[in-house]
Amino acid sequence: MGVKDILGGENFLTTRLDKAIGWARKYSIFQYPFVTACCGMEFMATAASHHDIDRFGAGLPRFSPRQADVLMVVGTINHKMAPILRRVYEQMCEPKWVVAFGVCTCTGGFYDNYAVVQGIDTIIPVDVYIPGCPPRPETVLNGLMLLQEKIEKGKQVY
Amino acid sequence: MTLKEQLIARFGEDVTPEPSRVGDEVYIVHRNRIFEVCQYLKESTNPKYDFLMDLTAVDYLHTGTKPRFAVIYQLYSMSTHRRLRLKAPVPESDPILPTVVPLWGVANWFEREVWDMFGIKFKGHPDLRRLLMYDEFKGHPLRKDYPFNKRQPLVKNTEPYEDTEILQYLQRIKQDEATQRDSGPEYLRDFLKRRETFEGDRSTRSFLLNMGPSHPAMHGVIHILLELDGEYVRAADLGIGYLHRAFEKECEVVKWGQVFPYTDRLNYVSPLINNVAYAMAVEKLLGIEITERAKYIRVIMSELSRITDHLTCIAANAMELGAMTAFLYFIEAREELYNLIEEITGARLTISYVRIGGVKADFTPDFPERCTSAIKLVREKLKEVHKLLTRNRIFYDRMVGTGVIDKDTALHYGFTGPVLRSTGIDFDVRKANPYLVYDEFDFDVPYGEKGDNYDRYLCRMEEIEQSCRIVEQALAKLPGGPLNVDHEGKIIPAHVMADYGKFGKTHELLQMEAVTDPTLSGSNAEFYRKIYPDAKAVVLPRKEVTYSSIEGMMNHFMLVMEGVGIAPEPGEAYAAVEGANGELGFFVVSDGSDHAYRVRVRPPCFTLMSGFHKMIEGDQIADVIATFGTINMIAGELDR
Repeated sequence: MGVKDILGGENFLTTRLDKAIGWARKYSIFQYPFVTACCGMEFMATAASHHDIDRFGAGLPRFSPRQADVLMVVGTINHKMAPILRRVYEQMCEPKWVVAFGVCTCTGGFYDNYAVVQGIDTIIPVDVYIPGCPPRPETVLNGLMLLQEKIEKGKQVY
Repeated sequence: MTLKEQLIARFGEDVTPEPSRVGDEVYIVHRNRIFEVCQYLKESTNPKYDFLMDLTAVDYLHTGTKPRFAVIYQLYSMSTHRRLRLKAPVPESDPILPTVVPLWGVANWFEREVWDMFGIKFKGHPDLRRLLMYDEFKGHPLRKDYPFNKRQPLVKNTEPYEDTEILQYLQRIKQDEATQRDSGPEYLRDFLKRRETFEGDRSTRSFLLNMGPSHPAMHGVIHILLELDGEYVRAADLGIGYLHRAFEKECEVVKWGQVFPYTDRLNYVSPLINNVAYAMAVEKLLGIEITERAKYIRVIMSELSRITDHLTCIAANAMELGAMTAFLYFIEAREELYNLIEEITGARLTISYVRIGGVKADFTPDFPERCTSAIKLVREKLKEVHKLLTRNRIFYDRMVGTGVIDKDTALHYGFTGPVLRSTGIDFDVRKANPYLVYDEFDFDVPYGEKGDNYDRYLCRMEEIEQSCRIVEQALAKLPGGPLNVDHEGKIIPAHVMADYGKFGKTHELLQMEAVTDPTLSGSNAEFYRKIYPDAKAVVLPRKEVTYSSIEGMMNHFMLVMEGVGIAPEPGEAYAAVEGANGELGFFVVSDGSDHAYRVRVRPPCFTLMSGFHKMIEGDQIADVIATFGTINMIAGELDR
């Protein structure tokens, strides 16, 4: 069944603006990889050809927070790094989402000590948590799909 | 004249040899004479100990040793490949001793770290600031009386980023100078002076630029304050510590065997090498010898890890210079190696594979075959990337003649690994101080001539090939037989070993023909005796024995319970391996309990980064990216 059949011979379709924008946004994610630690290795693996994050429309990293929609916090955040993460988040334009990549960003992981922030949600709001130390590329893609679902269904700001 | 006689003849009672249970050469030096002793060892003794491998401190608060602190100097003799350890006791009431920065540039950062972590001051140090922690942090976290999980409130900002903030910072330093206080970075003070005395057009005056920490080419965790003269870097100051995760403090909280997961995350590009280095240090302290097969397995896994490390380094470096294709090719090869490593260890990256006394699991039956095909793929990709990069005009122009460092500066800053070898010094721990079974293999150590980025790139490419050769030879020689040792170091045949499992009521159980997976889901006697020595004090008993005999269960219980378990006799040991970036050393101190008293890592990246400014000064700002890429800085081990 082709597109024409779905449209019933007409060359237009009706939808809600919210839904259309949500649909478009979820496949055009510009991510900012805030890579600090071990998880970066798996982030590289996810981005490279084997797992190919580009299939999900999230292949283009932007290293300027002002151009990015999704802040991927990849790796442990310690007390020295926390103010910088906060500033990067504040520099991003709305709409923006945050992914906590790896267990250190979710809860601090097994680094329960004087240096490490116990979960980045103590500093900035988080949309999707991807646990794992580090998460496998499959888990990352699953997390990304959850984020896409959230982007699509959420209230659209435009 | 032996070294001991030379030292005693020169310094009398200020230098006393300390007996070491594990065979290290250790001297206790009076703290006020440490500089003279180091100078004498560097310049006049025979052999000369001319290389500062590591400098750290130990807090002996809980052992009752007086005085409370000791600063540890690990020296190395480049000509005879011998190691020497100096200990300078420092009392708590007056924690100060002379600096050795004039002798070794790398001591600058080491001493800053010791000040940061222990609060020990160094008289004459040019720039004694905190290194890993931020300025607002109160206290010194590696002191024994600092609780490991005492967190301090988050600060608003830690480094000067905006231009106005830099100016305020400079103003503060100026005030400090007026009041004769020795604070503020030396480099910024110089900058201020240059700025003030500048004559001429204001627009041609040099200016400051922050690079990082949130910069894609700085791998997210390095802050470089560059003083630029147009496009050229005039001076640079590095800020690190953005990934300080308190590795050394965590090691003091967990048990000896539980340190492995933390070591995985030091150099997370080649975690297996970290595992091996730590295990070797603890085994040295315990005085146990592992089985032949376990040694071969460790070598094979280390070399696979080294290949993944070099692949990642070159891939990332090429990508940062715009060569995306090379990145994708190498990551494909790395993916294959990850799959291979996963089959043996159960994890792709953070593997925790090595155990004190052996390794977690034996190879699967089809491992040699799969490994050979993975090596074949690596070689294919290597060839393709050679074609893509080595004679590529853009790549060549950006790599040749940039990031140059000469031999003497490299040694002054304690460089090891591919970066040192690129300058023309063929120092490789695998050849200089062979460990495990490296002396049984035929492999070459590539080294360069000019010490520029291109030489470093070529060294790494060649080392991948050499690691492939080692893996192939090791696979061919891999001993499969019933090799094992008892407490006295005798080799016992397999049938005698099997009898060990047969005591108690387990006779029928053990006679059952049950085939278990030799790697993960269970142990079986067949693989177990090949990879573990018969050392009940450190090695968990086989599962069959644990579940079916009281002795086995007691043995297991004793090893895993809090308060008992692996507990080396009090002592100190240093063991080093050739990591992917250079000498990776572990200095472990035991007080006889089941927790490590102190675990110190000698991270290869740390010394490389301490001399990084020497490599970029005079280059263009774009060359900083290329140079930083070939250093292969891994924040996990840099900041720990």
